[in-house]
Amino acid sequence: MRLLKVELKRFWARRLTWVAFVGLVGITIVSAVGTFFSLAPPSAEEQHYAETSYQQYYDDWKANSGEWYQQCLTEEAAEREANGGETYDWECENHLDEPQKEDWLRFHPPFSDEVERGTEGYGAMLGFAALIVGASFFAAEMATGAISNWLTFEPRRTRVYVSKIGAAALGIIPIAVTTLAVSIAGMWLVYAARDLIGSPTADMWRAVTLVGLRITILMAAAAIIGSALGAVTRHTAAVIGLAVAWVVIDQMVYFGILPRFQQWSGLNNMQAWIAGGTTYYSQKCTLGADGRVCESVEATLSMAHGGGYLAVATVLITAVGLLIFRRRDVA
Amino acid sequence: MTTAPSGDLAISTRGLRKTYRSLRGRSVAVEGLDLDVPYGGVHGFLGPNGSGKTTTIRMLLGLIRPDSGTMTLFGQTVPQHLPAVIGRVGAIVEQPKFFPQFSARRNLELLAGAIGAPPTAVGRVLTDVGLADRAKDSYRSYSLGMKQRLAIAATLLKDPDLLIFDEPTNGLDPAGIREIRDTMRRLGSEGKTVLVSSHILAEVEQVADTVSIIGHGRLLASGRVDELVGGQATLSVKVGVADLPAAHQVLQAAQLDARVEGAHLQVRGVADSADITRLLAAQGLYVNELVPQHADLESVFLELTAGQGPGTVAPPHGRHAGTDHASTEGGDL
Repeated sequence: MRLLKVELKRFWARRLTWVAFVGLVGITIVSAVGTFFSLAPPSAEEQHYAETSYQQYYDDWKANSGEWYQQCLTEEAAEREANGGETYDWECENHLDEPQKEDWLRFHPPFSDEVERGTEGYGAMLGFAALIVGASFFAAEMATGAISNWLTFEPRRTRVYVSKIGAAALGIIPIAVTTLAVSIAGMWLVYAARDLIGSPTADMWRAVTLVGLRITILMAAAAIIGSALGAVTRHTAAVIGLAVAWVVIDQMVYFGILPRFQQWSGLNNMQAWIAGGTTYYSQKCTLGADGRVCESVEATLSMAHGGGYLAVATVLITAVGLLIFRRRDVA
Repeated sequence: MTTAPSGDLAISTRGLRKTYRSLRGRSVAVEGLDLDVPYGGVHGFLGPNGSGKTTTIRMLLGLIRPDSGTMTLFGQTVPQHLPAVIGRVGAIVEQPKFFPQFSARRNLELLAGAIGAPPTAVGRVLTDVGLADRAKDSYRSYSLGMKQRLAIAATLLKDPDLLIFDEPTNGLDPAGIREIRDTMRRLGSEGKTVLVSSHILAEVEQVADTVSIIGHGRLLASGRVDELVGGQATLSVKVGVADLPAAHQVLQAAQLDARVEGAHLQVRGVADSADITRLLAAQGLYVNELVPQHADLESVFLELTAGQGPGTVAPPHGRHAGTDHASTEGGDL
């Protein structure tokens, strides 16, 4: 515990920690300001243009919707015949729905609909920031050689290692909580200023809170992974390079070469964890009378799968880091 | 200086070995080193560049793993029992290493926190090394001398029984060197054990009670400084005489080890320089210069380590460095 306290003290004394903290909060504030302007009501000119466009389309619809509907049915039947009796639903009845004026104006979903997705959107950025903070925390000590001085005071390397990655994980939590709180509060203020709060419910707040909690856990895991990699590579830049390489390889492998194994994509699993589950599409191809036919198949990746994937990755990387740190000669 | 009973060793190694492997091949840094550092006093640890001094110190402190051999600190086997004795050991290994962005005070506070030292210890050691008024400045802004002093302050946080200084006077001005020397002497006289590894033999000779000399990772000699200097090195006399070739012949005929070096003769192994003047005068050759050259630690070191490291040259003939150990009265050392 004593070592952990000392490491936390060092964590919060570092300039990079505060730069990251202030930077992340700053980004959420800037984002809120941008959202405020994007939620601005339409100008008179936009209103007039929308009304004119609506009227033109309405007149056209009134005169021709029946014809559009019949044409759609005909083309759908033709394709069904061409595909041996199978085709997807063209939803031709949509042509009979009367157009609404609101369809031509920018639609802003209310806060109650947007806050959860908006919060999820910060997940990847915050995770990457936590990775860098964690990496720098350990790597700086390795790169400067201060670790050798440290080990002459505390030679038990496992304790040293655990205290450092533990401090990175615990230290990142206030940053996570503050950034997310500022983000949600900023959204609330912005939407309230535009009179777009909607109907927040207890379930909504519960869902948002859980998203925030999962992002916080993600950041703690990223800080741990960053620290472990920092101990191994001894340079923050190397950890950043590894992270970028991982993203590139993940995209290439699971979205290019082996799309049917997307359930093992790190990015997909991270998204599943943050969002409480996610869907992805893969191609399923069959050999038919007309040759190879491929169709997109939707699959679901659960939050539990994403969480388990991240947990296993964190444990594995941490364990490898510990093994290397324990055995490595320190100059 | 207070000493523990004879036979007590602060540091002991047996058959210590370390090999570095790289793409370029293997390099043996320490080869079967048997080192004994007695409890109490200042012990010099000498050797040419690359002889394995820093590697040995790092192994003792658990920073690197030996390939084989045993090590003890205060009788405890290390690195297995290093946590039990590390509180009694303070060390500076090569250049001081601290967090550059933090102040001196913060650097020491972190170290003090790691060992549970009282907060007052930081102020005390900073005052001891004369850095109290610069305590809030970042370590990055310190001169090399100040960095060395901060490193010493860090070692003193634990109030250790054993201090290991690896090249502590590197980069220091004469005043700084003197300060370090006085500090080591004071610590040794307080009953602490100080192991100092240094290239500045004159400094080591002034403060060390005992020394160990290594070369190519092996122990070449160890013992009290006065005994090593008296026992290993031979008296040499520089002789100036008008007829150098004739004088050379006379001395060689008398079975003396005489060599022409420039405009002088260098005569080694002579018990009394008066013998030289008697021999030459008997042949009508008169000496115009006679300078006895007393042995010092540097001459012992150079004699033992000739050809043992970069920049050292093995003598073409005559004695080579071996594994002679100076014996001391009543002790293994």
